[in-house]
Amino acid sequence: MSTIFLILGINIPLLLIYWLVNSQWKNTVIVVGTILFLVYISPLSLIVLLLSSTFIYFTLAKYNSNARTIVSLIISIAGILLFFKINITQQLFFNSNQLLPFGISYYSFRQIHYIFEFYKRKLPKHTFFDFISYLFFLPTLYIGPINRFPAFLKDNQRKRWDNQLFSYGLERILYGLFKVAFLGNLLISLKLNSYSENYIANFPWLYQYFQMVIFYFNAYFQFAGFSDIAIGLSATYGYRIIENFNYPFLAGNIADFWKRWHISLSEWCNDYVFQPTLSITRNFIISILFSILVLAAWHEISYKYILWGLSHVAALNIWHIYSSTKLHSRIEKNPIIQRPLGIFITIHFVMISFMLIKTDNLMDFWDFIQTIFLIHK
Amino acid sequence: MYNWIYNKFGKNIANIFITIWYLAILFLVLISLDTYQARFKYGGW
Repeated sequence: MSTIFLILGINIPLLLIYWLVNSQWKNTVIVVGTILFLVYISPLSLIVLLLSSTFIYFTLAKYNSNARTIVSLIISIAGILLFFKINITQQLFFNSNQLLPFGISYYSFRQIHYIFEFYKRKLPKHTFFDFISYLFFLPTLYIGPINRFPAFLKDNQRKRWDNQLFSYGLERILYGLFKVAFLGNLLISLKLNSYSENYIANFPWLYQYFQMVIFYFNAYFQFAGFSDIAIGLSATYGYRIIENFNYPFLAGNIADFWKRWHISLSEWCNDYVFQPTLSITRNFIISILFSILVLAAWHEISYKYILWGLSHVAALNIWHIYSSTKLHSRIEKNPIIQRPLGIFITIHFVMISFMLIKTDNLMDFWDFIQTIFLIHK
Repeated sequence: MYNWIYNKFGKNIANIFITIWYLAILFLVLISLDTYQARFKYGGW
């Protein structure tokens, strides 16, 4: 059975119990539901999540916000994530088809966020069980958004039935299913793909262009759809979770794109990688390089993602330099030209950079570039 | 859209509209899922 239906299926009885029990038992219901789900789908993930969370909470409680403790905790959480991300270790220790522990990319980053905020002494008063409820929150466990602990705690303390929020949640789930199944899978991946095959023989560049559009929009609809489902499910439990996408295809420049695409991850990178690096090095280029590399490695540790990250670093730096030139300020005075041109360039850059991920190797990518720009082979 | 219909035609018409809207979307989701390739494949990152 597909994971998404399993999650939706588990949530129906869970929601019913959640809203029937007293408010002191509500968190227990979600945590138990999540544990049962993980026992069924990924016991390894359950062990990793349980041990790492307990370790973080009690280490912080014992040593408080001592800088050495914070650094070693962050290194150990990042180390666990790296251990599972690097394919070689997976092949050595597990069978090669083994997936990552379910949702580890998301909960590791939530844990690092918690450690950082603890260090800054910005966390409201909370208990161990509040922390566990934050990490064992089924709706956002599997695909994010990487929500923040203080906001979670605020909703956690309220926990009152809200008609409007509940119906908003159901609406978001429906829209999410629509984005994934109808727009992403049926229209883009299936119909547009088979339509594009008409052009393979006569217009190979057009076929490749379609392939690029299909890959980008399919990725967007899949991811945005699953985020909608997660946000919708959270709303049915009375939690307002931050948005993950804000029409990224309308971004007018590459910096704007990163404020619209996977917002929770880019904000995380901004707060916990970019800002600290900038305050240490005082260098924009190094900070942006480091944060985009973390962002790329978060997706997958492979040279394809590193190159993809580097292309975005280059674009962000070019944009950073260009935005302070006279040419930019002159063009900016004409929004009729600037806006569509900005959108056109940004979306095409992003789509081409995504092809770095889609193609199997660099030769294939170069082939794609030659075909699409009509370069004579 | 819903608010516009609500203000122009009243609560009942707006409710009928929104019900049809949701059913139409649900219908599209269901016919998509009927195609094997359109099913959910996400594994959990």
